[in-house]
Amino acid sequence: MIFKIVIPFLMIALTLSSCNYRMDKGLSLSEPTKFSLPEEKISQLSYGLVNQKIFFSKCISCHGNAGGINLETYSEVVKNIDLIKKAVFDEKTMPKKSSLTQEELSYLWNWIKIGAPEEAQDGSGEPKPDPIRATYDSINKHVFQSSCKDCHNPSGSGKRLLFDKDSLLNSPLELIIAGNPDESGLIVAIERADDKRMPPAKDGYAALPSETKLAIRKWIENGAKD
Amino acid sequence: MKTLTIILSTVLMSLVTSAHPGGPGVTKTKAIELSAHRIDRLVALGKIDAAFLKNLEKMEVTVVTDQAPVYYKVRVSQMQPAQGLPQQLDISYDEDGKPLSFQVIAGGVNGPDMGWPDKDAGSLAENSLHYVLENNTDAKVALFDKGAVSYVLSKGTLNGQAVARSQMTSSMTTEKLNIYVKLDGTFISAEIVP
Repeated sequence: MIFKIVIPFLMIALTLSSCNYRMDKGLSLSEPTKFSLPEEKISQLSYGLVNQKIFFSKCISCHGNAGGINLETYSEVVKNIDLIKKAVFDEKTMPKKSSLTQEELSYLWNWIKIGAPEEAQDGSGEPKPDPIRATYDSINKHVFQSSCKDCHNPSGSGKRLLFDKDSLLNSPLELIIAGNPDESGLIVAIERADDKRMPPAKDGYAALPSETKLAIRKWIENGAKD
Repeated sequence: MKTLTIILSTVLMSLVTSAHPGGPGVTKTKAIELSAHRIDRLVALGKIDAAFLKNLEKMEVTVVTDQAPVYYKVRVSQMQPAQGLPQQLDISYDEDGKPLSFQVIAGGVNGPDMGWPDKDAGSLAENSLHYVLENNTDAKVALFDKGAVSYVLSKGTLNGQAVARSQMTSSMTTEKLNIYVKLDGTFISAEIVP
């Protein structure tokens, strides 16, 4: 009779204490937090959405094909989901060179919390793909904002060289020579293979993908107007 | 006669000043720093001897008054050419620092190969010159920013550590500015000496 009561009690107690242990080690996903989102938003969370909002713009410039943890695909992200949670929410060591906004943190937190689904629960489908195009706005979004602005901002280590359109087109360093991509500083910097390549390998950045370099070339070739 | 001289002088003065209203868009030190970048670009494009970057020794800046739109001319000297006789490089800029032309000329004096181990001489020069550009609100440093005449890079030791020493002269002071950076280009210190 004693065993019938004591053993289940002990088992429940042990289970509960292990839960408490997990919570002490880091933020528990079951806890209500400042990252809460309305149910409607949560049901729209998919890998595509989180990738577009967070992984693509804040992670892949380092966690791409340069070696180490790769976050370029859904399967790689899922494989590393515990590390992502730990680095972003528990240890707050990532992103290393920038920070996530409250909205981005909320999206990531809730997406992990509901099991990091590839598809949205409400069936809303993937966000429309947005491939890089040969225009300043597209290049700015896909390259300058994700791979350059961590250093090249008014208070960063690359403050002498900024990537707003005006600075880029009028730099005495001739970053852009309209119609002449081969001699444009931007192309020289992204295509070179030595330790001066941008974004810099020493800071963990991968070389820009070929399609990105081609889009920048095309933009300059077309006169860098749009 | 006196009146005519005054009128002519006034016209001449106004011509000279209107060529660069408000002064140039970049300082002499900026023109030198832009030359370090320019050398890197020209070497990357295979247009000049790579030794201008690897073994850069000296850069001298002058203001050109009779070849508009040229405003600055920077003469670059290297320690050792990749092969053959020593060469120098002239780079011309407009008053906003936009490069206009370059020309490789025979000249200069061969020196020892510094064998910079981490960064090339051009990068060391660039990093050193950033000190002047970032501290030009200091009245003494400003004399070197605005009045720079020459920049010389050499190897030295500081507190027992091998360093790259840059020395700048200025037309606005008889003092000299020494800037010390580590061989990887990290800034160490700077001093103004008699």
